[in-house]
Amino acid sequence: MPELSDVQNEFIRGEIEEFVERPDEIVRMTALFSGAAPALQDISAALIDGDDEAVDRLTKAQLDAGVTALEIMDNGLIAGMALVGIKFRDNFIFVPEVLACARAMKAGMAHIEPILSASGVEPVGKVVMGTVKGDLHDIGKNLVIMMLRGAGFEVIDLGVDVSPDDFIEAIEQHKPSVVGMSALLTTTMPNMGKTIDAFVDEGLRDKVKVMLGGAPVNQEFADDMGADGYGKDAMSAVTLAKDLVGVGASA
Amino acid sequence: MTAAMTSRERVLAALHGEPVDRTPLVNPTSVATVELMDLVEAPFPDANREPELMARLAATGHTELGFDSIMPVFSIIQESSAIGCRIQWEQKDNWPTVKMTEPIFERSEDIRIQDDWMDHPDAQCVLEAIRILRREYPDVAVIGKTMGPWSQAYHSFGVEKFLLMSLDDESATKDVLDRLKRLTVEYGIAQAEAGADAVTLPDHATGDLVSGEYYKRYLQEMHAEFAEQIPIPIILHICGRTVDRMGYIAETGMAAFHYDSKNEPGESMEAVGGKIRLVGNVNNPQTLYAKGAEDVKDEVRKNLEAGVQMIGPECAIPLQTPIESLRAIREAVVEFHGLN
Amino acid sequence: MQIRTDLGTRVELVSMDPHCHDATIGLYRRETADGPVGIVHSYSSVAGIAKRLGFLAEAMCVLGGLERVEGDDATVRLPCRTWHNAALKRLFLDCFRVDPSTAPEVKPLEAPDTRSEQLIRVEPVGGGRYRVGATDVPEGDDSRAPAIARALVRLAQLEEVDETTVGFPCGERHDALIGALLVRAQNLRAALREEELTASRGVLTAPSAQE
Repeated sequence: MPELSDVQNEFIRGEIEEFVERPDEIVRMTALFSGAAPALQDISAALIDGDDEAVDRLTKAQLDAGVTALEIMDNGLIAGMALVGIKFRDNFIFVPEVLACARAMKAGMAHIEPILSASGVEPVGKVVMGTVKGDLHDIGKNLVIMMLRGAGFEVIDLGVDVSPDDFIEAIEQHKPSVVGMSALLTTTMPNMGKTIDAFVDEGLRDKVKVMLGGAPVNQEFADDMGADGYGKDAMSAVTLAKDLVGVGASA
Repeated sequence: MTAAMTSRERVLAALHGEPVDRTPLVNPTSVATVELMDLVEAPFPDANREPELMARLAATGHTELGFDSIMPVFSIIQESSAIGCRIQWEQKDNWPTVKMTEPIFERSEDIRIQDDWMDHPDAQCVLEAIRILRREYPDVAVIGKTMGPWSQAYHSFGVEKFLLMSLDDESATKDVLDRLKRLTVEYGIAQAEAGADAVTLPDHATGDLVSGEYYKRYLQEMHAEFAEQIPIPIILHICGRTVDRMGYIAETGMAAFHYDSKNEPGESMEAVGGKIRLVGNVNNPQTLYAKGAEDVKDEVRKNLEAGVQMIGPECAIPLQTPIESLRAIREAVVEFHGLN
Repeated sequence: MQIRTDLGTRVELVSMDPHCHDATIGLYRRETADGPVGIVHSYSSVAGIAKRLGFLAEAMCVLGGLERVEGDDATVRLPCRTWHNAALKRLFLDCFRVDPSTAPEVKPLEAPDTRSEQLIRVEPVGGGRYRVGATDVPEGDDSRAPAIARALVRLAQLEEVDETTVGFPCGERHDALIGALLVRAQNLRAALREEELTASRGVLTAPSAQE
């Protein structure tokens, strides 16, 4: 099992030491970064630091050096965002910092996306994502979307304040395999259940897998609402989505 | 317990941390409902723009619901309208809001506020409503509202833009707040002169978006300045989870903090350490709007038992809130103190 | 006018009645020695409001099979002398859809399905229970009856007896009321959407939580 000292980038080592508290996540983060080339760790570090100029420059340099777009995205950008997601969830950083990291991620993806879309990689699955009715928060959802796209999913983003009908319409139109719902407010969490009930009413519940996420949500709540899974952070959401479409490691 | 007080005496004593005959019911934010609008023929949106209607609707908080205060500034848009933000005025059943998708400033240098900004009818409306209420209700506390610069910046720059600026450029952010703060101070002073006994100062540096450290870095000192410059007690209002910044808030010298139901009364009283009074914190969407009078009373009792100095809803109540739930707030306070 | 303290608890509220100068009109439930009664009430004093309240109470009687309480134009009760909260909320809202220039009419116990070619029929089977059936179900298609029964349970919180049978907990017949509910149950989504829309109006959010 990799040790923290196997992560070469000092900034990232410091971040893991300071901000990652759960033992299983320390193991996961350590494995994630120690398995990445040092130059890609630099990209992660710049992203975690919210430095969009550095991410832009380093991403371009790695592409020029012949590293594949997929590897840069997985081991540089997405890995960095996974740590950002944990810091946000545990209140070490707040919305402005996440906005800056998302901006940095976007700067890197601007180089990656055209290459990936030109390469014609078959999407691993289709996901419809939205923040539920009454909730206007989209940062966590956007993080998950970015990482899902990074992981090869085609994602239809319904935005914020999405009514059950909008979800239903999107399911009928796009026929996704997974529907992801996010909520940041305890007051809007029950709308996840209402949305799932609406799927039942429309006879659509068996046609999609439903995953829930967001700061106030937990596994128990997701189970109560009748969801197929719960992603406690952006990284787990990706793992979950892969499992739900049958391409995950545990599938 | 001291001898029976008037509503105004009671609220002012509580704001100053002095003894009271019973815990006052204070509404630092709106308690207007669509039914009350009908009762006194003062519907939205007109009641946000015409002083007589504004005063008449606000007074129902005291005359019909039994609050010890009257707060006529229902919405949070008056100053923003006066400096040029576009407003969606809505209808009777909804709140006017600033169209934040159409920001009026991009950089701090863009902020230019005319010296006569307060002559704008939407700013004047509040001042005139306060004068009317002062005249008609000499024994009731009249509370005004002046928006803080952080909230003003959301309105005039857009939320995401301003939050990114706050991270990228501390000095530009401070410059923005510095340039906007005159609205807060000037409007606060004008409302005091019009007869307000206190002002609510909403400044939405909420725990849902920014850290307690942010509050300290950008706002604590400025809020302390407001407490010195505005000659009447200030009730700071910040929505959401705020326990992590209550210690900083308590140091500002403001009279009270209007706190959200996301914070437990006990932990909040502990966090402020007796340095600022608390007002709150009956939950709006679940309890006041959707549950019954008994649940409202339970929440009021929790506040009273924790020693919270002034009782009221956590924020502006939904316009469809049942009147019987609102009246239950007073009933619970009266019952707690063994009064009739 | 003053605040009335004898109205009991509010069951439902229409903030702006399009048929009466945007007046706010509520349905309240008050307990009496003779069981709960519903009061249609408004604090508005706009012209024609008393007549409008009377019309809505009348519509509740016709569409939902309620009875007038003597001595009051705007007070009604169920013949079973209990209270079916969710069903009455729905009925009250539906009364605002009735064209005020026409007389309200009781809904039949059968109606063509809005989503298929099937004919939906609701039949009383005793003890306050109703069986939902569908005829003209094309071969290979599912009957819409279980979906409609489920919708009735959701919409009016009726008891679910079996896949196609629902019941009022009081054990009494409510033919008019079930007929009125049947109309909505056929498009449950629209009914729930309306509810959500109503609930989202009038709530002030901090600038940081606004769109």
